Amino acid sequence: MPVDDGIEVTATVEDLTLKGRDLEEWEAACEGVRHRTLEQHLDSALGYRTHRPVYDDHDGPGAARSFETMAEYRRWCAAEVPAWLGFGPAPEEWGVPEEARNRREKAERRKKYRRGGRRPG
Amino acid sequence: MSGPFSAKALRRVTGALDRHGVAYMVCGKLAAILQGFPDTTQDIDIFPRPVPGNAERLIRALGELGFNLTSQDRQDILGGKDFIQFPNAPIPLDIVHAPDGIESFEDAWRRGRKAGGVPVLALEDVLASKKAANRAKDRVVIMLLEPFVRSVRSRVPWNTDPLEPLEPERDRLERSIARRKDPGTSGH
Repeated sequence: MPVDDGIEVTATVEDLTLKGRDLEEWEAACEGVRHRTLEQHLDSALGYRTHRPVYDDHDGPGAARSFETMAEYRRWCAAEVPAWLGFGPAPEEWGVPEEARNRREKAERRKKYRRGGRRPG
Repeated sequence: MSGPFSAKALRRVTGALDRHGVAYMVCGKLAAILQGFPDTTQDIDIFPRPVPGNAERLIRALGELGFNLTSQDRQDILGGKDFIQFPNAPIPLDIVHAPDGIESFEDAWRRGRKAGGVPVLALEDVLASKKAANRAKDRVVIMLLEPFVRSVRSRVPWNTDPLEPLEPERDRLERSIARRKDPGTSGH
């Protein structure tokens, strides 16, 4: 399936489930955490850093890039951030879990309600 | 772009937040990592509690951490914009006032844990949040996080504890103050 940047996504939703040997290897990797201290674990989790084009670049007047709503943030990611970084929506072919859709809608309703009354700090 | 990051830098952040009395939870993938999830992340996602005074405390903590905030940046934090990121800051911190799939801070806190001394979203909430966001990159995290949540979490070598309940009396007072400031305030 072609997406922007000319990159073709070939993974199917079946590829997004760990099975058999892949699952065993992943569980072994998870077990490996038991042999590390929390600080060692955090250093390996946080020590990796790569430049993400657009996402890590900012020439605005302030230090921050801000979005009024998460929907606005998602639209910006989809329109501006290179697709290969994965910040855009999952391909439609992968579907949206029903549970996830319900939870997002419920949270949006709650936030809308809260925003009506929310005032600065 | 922020520089390299480490456990020590994370402790600097949480130390500053604690010293300034910021009520917050870590959300996003880092919340799972703090509970033993063996993956990497480039960002610290902070979910501040939306109560009076907390945003000011957060701004003071960011000042201590070397964030050079403009008045617009401060307004964005005070105004509770849903998502604020700091690409040029010394530390790769995102402020997420409304994480996807999370109904409220209080609900998330009730289910949350203290991991390595840091208040974090419950693994189930991290998973739900990733599902609600449903970005391509989230689907890969979900693929790895689901089996972790299912079978590995109980064997993490360091302790994670339930969070202490939020103080109901303080909640009540804060709501009362908020209502006095603005009669339209309903909950937070």
